[in-house]
Amino acid sequence: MKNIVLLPFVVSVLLAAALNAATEDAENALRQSMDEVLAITEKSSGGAELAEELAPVLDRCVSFEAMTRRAVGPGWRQFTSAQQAEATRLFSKLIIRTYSAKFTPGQQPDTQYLKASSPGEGKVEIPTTVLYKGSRYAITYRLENLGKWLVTDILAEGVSLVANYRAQFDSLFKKGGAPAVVDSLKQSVSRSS
Amino acid sequence: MKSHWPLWACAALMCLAAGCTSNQKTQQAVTASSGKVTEKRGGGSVVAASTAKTDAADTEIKDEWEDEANVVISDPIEPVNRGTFWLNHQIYQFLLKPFAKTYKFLLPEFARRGINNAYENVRFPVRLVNHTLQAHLDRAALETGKFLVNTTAGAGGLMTPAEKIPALAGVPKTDTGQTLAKWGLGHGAYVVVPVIGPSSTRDVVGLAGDAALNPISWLSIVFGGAAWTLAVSTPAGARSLPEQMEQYDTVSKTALDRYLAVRTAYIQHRDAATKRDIRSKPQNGPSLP
Repeated sequence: MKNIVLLPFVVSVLLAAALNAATEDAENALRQSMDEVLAITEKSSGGAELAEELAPVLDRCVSFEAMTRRAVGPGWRQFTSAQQAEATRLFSKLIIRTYSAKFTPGQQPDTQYLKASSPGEGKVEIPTTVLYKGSRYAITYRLENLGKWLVTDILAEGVSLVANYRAQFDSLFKKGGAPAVVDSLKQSVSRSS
Repeated sequence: MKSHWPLWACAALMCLAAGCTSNQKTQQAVTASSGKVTEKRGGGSVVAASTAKTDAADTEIKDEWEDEANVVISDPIEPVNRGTFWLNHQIYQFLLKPFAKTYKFLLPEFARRGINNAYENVRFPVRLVNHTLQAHLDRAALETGKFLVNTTAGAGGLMTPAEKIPALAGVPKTDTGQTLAKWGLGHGAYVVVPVIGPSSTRDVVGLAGDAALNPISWLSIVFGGAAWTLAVSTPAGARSLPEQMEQYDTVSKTALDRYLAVRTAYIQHRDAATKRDIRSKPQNGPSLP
């Protein structure tokens, strides 16, 4: 009888411990990736070179496939495998270039990690504040356990990268389906180079 | 581009006009998740029947993170907004960007930061009143502390020593638009204001409120005259222009549809600013108020 009374307590303690372990793992993965990114930006002269240098690290710590799938939304199912692969390749290129362009050579951001939370199983949200070039920004990283912890979205000052592209992809998809999305991505990538 | 304060009165008039129109008409709200068109009548909302067909497919890819799918704003005057957006884009490219570049070239970073800090410090009544109106008395107290520290130890606000005091650092900024949001007012219609940029009917009213609470506006009223208005408003506008142009570029340069990118970013940013609360606590550090 005593054991039955204690059971809910034990289960809740175990659940809390499991969630803590998940957020800790995700945060360690993010910190490690950020350290790698900063080590590269510290030595880099910036520009297109930086994007190329950062690409391998970002490929390891970001799930561009999940990011692209979410950004496209329900229309993703109507993409062929080749279109999905092409959209992911182009979208990742676009994101890497945008991300790299935010770094100014010689200026290193000071990141403070805030209390992480887990909105669901295998998902962790890590808010940070970044002091960069005298201004403070709120950056939140969303990670998912896809075999390993990978970033699936970034929110800058509350603006989700995925949600921002979702609105645009939706509109394009409704007008011209998958080819319109891929063509538009191609144009955007060539504009950003 | 809130700092273009002389345009606020004009913007407020536009807001009132747009607000009246949007209340009378059936509004269309675009949901970013699936491009569903939602018809809003009065306070309620009805999902249009035409979207029912796609709903089954929609469930295949679930929105694991709620806000990816919830960026909603009514945009009943989209063609007009797109026109104003195009005009603003030209103004930014050919007028404000060169101006921002020149400003950045002429003034070293510490001087630009000092001017920006001083103007932000002067805007203290905007934050104090709005924190109070939102019943965030703790934040109002911290804002007062921040203002006193920066004004006295920071040479009239040119420097921000308060940022080095953990209890005062990172107090969330606020404005009248956020107060109206806290009081339960929705965005209303999306409005692109000439020169100022993206806004909503609620936030345009908010801009007028901010202008009324801003001591710089009071000085202009007291001293009057075009020269004074120009002398105060030019640096007020220029101070954050390089950063604002950079932000605009970040959102729009790699966008597939600039208008949609800016609209979605604006709404998300404003929603996040309104929802920001004590949830986040720095590790080994103080909690944000």
